[in-house]
Amino acid sequence: MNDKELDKKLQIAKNQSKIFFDKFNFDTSKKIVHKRIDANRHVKRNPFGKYLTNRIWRKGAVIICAITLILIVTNQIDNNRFMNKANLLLQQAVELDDDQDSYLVNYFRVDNPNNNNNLLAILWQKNSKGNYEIIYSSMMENTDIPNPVDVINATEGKYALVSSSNKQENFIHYRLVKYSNNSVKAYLEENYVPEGKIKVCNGMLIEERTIPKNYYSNYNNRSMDKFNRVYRYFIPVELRSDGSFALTTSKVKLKKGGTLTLILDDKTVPLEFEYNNDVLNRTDNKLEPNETIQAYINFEAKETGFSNLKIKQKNNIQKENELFIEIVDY
Amino acid sequence: MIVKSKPQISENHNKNEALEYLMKRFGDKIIKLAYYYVRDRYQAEDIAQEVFCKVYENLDDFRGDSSYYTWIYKITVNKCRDYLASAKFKKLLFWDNIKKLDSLNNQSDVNRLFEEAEGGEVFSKVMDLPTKYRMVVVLYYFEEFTTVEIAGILNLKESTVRTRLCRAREKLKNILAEEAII
Repeated sequence: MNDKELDKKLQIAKNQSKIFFDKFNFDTSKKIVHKRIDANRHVKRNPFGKYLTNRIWRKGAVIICAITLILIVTNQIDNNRFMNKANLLLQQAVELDDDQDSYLVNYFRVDNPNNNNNLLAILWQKNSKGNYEIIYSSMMENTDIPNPVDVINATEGKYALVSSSNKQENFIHYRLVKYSNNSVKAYLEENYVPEGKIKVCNGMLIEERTIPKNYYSNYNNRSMDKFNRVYRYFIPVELRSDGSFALTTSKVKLKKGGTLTLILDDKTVPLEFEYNNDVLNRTDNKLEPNETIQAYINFEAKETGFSNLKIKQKNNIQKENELFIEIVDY
Repeated sequence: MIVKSKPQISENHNKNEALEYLMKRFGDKIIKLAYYYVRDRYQAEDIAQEVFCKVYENLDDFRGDSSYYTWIYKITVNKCRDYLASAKFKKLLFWDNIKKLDSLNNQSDVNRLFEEAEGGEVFSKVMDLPTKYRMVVVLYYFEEFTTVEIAGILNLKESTVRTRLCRAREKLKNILAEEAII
């Protein structure tokens, strides 16, 4: 096909288009245009007058959106500031009964007005509806490092060790709580343990701390030192419903000079003890005055050696427990 | 072709009278132009209505730098381009005609959807051209605009318009030649 032939075809197409578009008529659309304009006029009527066109409205909408976004972001910042006052630092699942997912310990950072770091430790329990409820909480003042939770297994319940540290000032706080029968009981609450260390070992809680040299007067053979490093060994003792005892461990190794503390969950039951006086010495009066212990019996590991510590009920000598103790010096 | 002089819209005319005048004078042309783009009569009418609504809104801002016709044509072209790019168009095309499209495989087949309305003759072959070629052909040959005017309306360089015209003619030659053989 050459150009002339194409031009003829295009002329034909033009005529066909005229015939085709003869059916088109804008007259019917005129009324619709007026209606649309009226409708738009009503929609756009506003107190600012006719000069607020679509474009201005769009700009306004953009500005409003931007302001809203800024407010949201600002609010978020404020929320973050608020959250910094109670900021979750550590969350740990703790197995306190057969349901492994039911217990959590959270450490929140809580700033006080002096901007000191405080930690709030919360123990949560999941209820039957799946919601967590607080079953224990404790504020740990002026510490910033949450320590992982340790658990001591007992025959009737479990003990959880919650602790925190201040590395700069080198002290720790710790709590020993017992969970049993849907209730929590605090057994130990120790604060500002100087150069303190705490750990769970073989069913026993071992605490290290530094104390002034004259703190213990009668056994200290390192009195030339300015400070002494001392050890305390905590063993929970449960009094069962049948009157028998249960210890969380049956064999322990103590450092000479350390203190063994039996933590009793019922101090109303009168007890008597049999042990080797050459290596152990009962010293109930040698605990710090501010510590809180539900009920405790203290023994000093005064010499290296071995001893069987027998624990009996005065009213029922048949209910007896025995703890094998080895005292070492290193 | 383009009315160079500012139409008889004096300052004494209110906007409604001006709109009436513009609709009477250009209404049919705008529908045609819209149809060239969208190939749907009712959609073309809808677009033309929107165009005159916009014309009414912006009458106060019209500075007379171009003729009314060019101004209104540009508004129409923009509206049509917006429509073709819109989801509404795609939805109409691909959902309303889904059964037909299922059996169609290429663009020429899709264009056959419009043949019934347009008669299926030479005019339809022009309308079957891709939009960018179709528009320059219809504006140049059917509406008798110059290449300069087309460039103004479509916001293209005149050289681009000329190039497209040449290519469109070649395409048409091929299409019509094939038709003749068949």
